[in-house]
Amino acid sequence: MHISIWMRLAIHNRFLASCLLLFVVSLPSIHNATFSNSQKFPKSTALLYDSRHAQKAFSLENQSVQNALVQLSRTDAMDDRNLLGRTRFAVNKPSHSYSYDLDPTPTRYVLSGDDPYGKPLEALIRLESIRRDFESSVPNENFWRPRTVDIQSAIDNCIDRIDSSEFKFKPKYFQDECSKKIEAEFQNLDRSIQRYASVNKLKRIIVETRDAIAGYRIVVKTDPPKIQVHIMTLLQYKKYQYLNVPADKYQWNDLFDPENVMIGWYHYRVDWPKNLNGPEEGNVEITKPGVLTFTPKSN
Amino acid sequence: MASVGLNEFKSVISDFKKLNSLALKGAIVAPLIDLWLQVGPMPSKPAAVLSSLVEFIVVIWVFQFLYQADERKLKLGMNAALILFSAAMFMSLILLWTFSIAPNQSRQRVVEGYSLREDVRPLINDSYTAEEALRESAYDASKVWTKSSIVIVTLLISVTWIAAFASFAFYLTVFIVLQRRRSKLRPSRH
Repeated sequence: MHISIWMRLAIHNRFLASCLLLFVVSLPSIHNATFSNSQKFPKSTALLYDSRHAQKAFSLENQSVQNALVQLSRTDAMDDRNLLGRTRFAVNKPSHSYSYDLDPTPTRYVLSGDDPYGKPLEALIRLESIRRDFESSVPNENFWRPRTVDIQSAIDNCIDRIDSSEFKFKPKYFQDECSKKIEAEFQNLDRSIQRYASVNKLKRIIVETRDAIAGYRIVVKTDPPKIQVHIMTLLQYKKYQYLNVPADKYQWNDLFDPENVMIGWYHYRVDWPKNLNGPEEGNVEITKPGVLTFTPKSN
Repeated sequence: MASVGLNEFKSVISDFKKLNSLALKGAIVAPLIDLWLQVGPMPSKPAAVLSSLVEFIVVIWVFQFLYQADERKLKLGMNAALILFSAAMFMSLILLWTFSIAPNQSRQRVVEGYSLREDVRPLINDSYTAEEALRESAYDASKVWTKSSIVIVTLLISVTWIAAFASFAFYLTVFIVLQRRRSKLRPSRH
């Protein structure tokens, strides 16, 4: 009875039909508005890493793929402290706090396109970075050692499968399978870190990089050019100061692109060379779109 | 009885000449204006579409179930709807003014929470307010207040906003129902 009434309404009433149509048509935009997430890394970075890896890969062509990837990952974990080899784990004993970041970096920033070795290389760099941080922060603890061995073997299995002859028949299936197994091992490590923190009563500092709302389009320049600028929200900086986190443990957002979307107060660091009085820190408020130019302070 | 109500509903909706019929359609579409104005609850797109949909359901419901109801009851319902509309609109605006902030001229508002995060609480005092912390966190409320408190405030604003529009739709529909009844009872001049 009721169904027939609704059917009649929907068929004979154009207004009802257009309202329902409007609602259905709006659903994708509602979904996008509600669940969209901002892009974490600028596109230009991908090009930077592609060309660098191409050069490295060329010099390593005579080695086995596995050794080459391991060597690349170690170089990246040590050299690139801004993106791929960024700090993944840090403990600040005086403030009984810790921070960690096991999130993967998008593989497009590691190798170009759909390169099947992108995922294992990204995981290897992540693993090398976190090993490096564990060795420096908690060298005498053992909670992380078996977990990192498990991650290493998941990555090794992944590389073996990519090298196998069956890979070319089902590349997507093997790549998805690889990702799942590697991320499952990283989740085990995540749980181990949380257990360790809980036993030692450490408070986690969460570093978030997501943009909250649409800000202003800001062009960031340095004079002289090509100097790296790092920023964090002023609130994050105040939290670090309150918890007495050492300055070398701060997690900065690096401005790779000249164009950025920013709003509110930020704390910045500009890596001026020594002849320009060295790195400089300060606060800046963004209240309108425009150009933000950093110049070194004169003597 | 149900078919009478629905026939009346169809007749009102398909009528583009009478003022009350146009007003009803306008009331249903009114919440969608917030997609551009962005003065209502956040996120504005789902809130606007949901308000419009709820109003439409209320209109159908009144025609379906109350078209032949006792006139005294309908008048009582009208009064109750008017009181509910005023209260819900007042509450909604108070909540919006108290718990939301517009950081720039894009009209996009940020909903605040009521409970500060553990890592922010020690920083807040008389000289450093939660609003200042919000300004220093790229207007990301989840970096200052707990997620649950932001969700509760957002829900409260949305529910009161939708309730205001729903009660307005109820009020207007009952008014139209009573007008149509009276016009049918009146003897035709021709």
